[in-house]
Amino acid sequence: MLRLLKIELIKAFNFKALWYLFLIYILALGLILFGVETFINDIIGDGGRNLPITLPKMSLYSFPLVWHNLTYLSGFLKVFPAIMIIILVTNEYSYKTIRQQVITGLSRNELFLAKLSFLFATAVVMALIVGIYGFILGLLHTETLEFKTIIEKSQFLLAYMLEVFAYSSFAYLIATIVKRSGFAVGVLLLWAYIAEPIIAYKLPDDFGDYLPLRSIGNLIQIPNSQLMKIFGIEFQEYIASTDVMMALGYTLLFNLIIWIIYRRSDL
Amino acid sequence: MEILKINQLTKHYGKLTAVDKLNVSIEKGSIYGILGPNGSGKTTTLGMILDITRPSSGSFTWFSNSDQNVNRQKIGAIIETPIFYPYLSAQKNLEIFCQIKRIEFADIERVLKIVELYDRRKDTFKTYSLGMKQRLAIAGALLGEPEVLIFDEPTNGLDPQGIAEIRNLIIKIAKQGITIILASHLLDEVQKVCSHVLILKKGKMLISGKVDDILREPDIFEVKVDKPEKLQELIANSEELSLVQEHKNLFVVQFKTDSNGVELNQFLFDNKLVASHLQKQEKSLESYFLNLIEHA
Repeated sequence: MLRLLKIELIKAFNFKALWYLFLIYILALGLILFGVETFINDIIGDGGRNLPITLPKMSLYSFPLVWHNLTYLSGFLKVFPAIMIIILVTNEYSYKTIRQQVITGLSRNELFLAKLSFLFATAVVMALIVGIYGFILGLLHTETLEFKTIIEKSQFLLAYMLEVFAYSSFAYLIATIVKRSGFAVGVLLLWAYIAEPIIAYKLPDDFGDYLPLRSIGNLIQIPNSQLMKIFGIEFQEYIASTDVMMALGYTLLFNLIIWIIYRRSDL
Repeated sequence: MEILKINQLTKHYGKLTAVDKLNVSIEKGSIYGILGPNGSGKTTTLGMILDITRPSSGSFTWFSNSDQNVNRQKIGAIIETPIFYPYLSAQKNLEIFCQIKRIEFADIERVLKIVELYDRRKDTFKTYSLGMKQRLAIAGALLGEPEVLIFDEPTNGLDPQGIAEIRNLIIKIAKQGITIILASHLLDEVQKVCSHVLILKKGKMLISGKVDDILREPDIFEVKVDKPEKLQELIANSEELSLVQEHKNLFVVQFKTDSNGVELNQFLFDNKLVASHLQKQEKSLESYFLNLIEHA
């Protein structure tokens, strides 16, 4: 497996577009995560100016709430690793190197496992980066540091890893079917931001929650805040095992389809 | 020892049958040519034995066993055009090859020196000329000292100097006892390089065997005589001679059995014909091959 990952890393490390995407992701994530608290508090401050009650200032960054808050926000950027996967996969078709790798001696299973290992490594790295940001912000914003409160709710990082892995698997599937980078990115964005929301809206009751990207997104739901509690709204503050099962199920399904395509098709 | 056994291998693309029930057996140490015009199924056949094209039916066995993963590491191959990551250097591209074949990076220096690209190893693939790309492809195929090398149209698109370089390289490699499978539409190439040949037409095997037996040069002569009508009549009734073509009283003739110019001259003399022109045709093998393909 490590050998297969190394093959993918040689391709990825030397491809500039992937580096740019990765850097933009790190920077954008940093800006959002470090800036969001001030941003929200400014809005609350402005909005609450004429209210009879003073709205409480929010702290998004204290342990252990920081993990839920940051992984939720990072979820909006999971399209970056997905586009990285699309580029890496469609490059193999446009350069015809997918053929060459089999000619050189990679089996079709290995061809698939190589990309899968890269997907997994990406998900781990993305979660690690959020983890590092969260750790720094938590340290700076928590008054009494205790090991217990630091690791409490850190399972949200694992959930984020699964979210990125599942979402990227969807991107991998699109790239494998479509084979062209621009087209694949287009299909992904169209599905994620237009088609699936419309379908979800049209479906009766809560069936929309079973659609692939929405159920992946449901892993980490919108965090509760003091503000919401004032209005009596309660969001899910934990990771539900049914959501995990759904995300894992979709991940398995996407990868199974990709594997079958690899096994059957002429390259 | 049998290196490759192909059994009833078939590939359909919709209604088209690209390869039709092909049976081949290739022995260790031979240089096996697959000869045929464009579209005769050469690349499809190679694609199937390399696992990039799925056979519709039939089977093949490498090295008399079925352990694909081990087997593939003993095979080096170039199919059609050289394929590499354009943004990677030769060195990095070959590092990927090494990882795939589970061999040390140290072998890269050896193969790059064989194809004389060692000095350019740090340049990206996209900066290479076509000849250099083709040489890098050969270097890639040579990595890990494979037991079998497969070349598909290795001289396609190269200039005469490049063609000569690649051919000499193949002959040099063959001398080390490596089994070579070479697909080509160039008869001349197969004849110069190969020990065995298989001729394909529309996916079917026409003939196979040793190059010396199959592509034996039948002598073809150009003749001009004082009485062309008489010669035409003689050829029509002759058991030994056949007419390849006739143009403006220039007859191109071929002996059905082994023969040389002396016998032809004697034949004309016996029939009281005087030749004004009698020449052995140099390109005779090419026309023989075309003849074979057309009339099969």
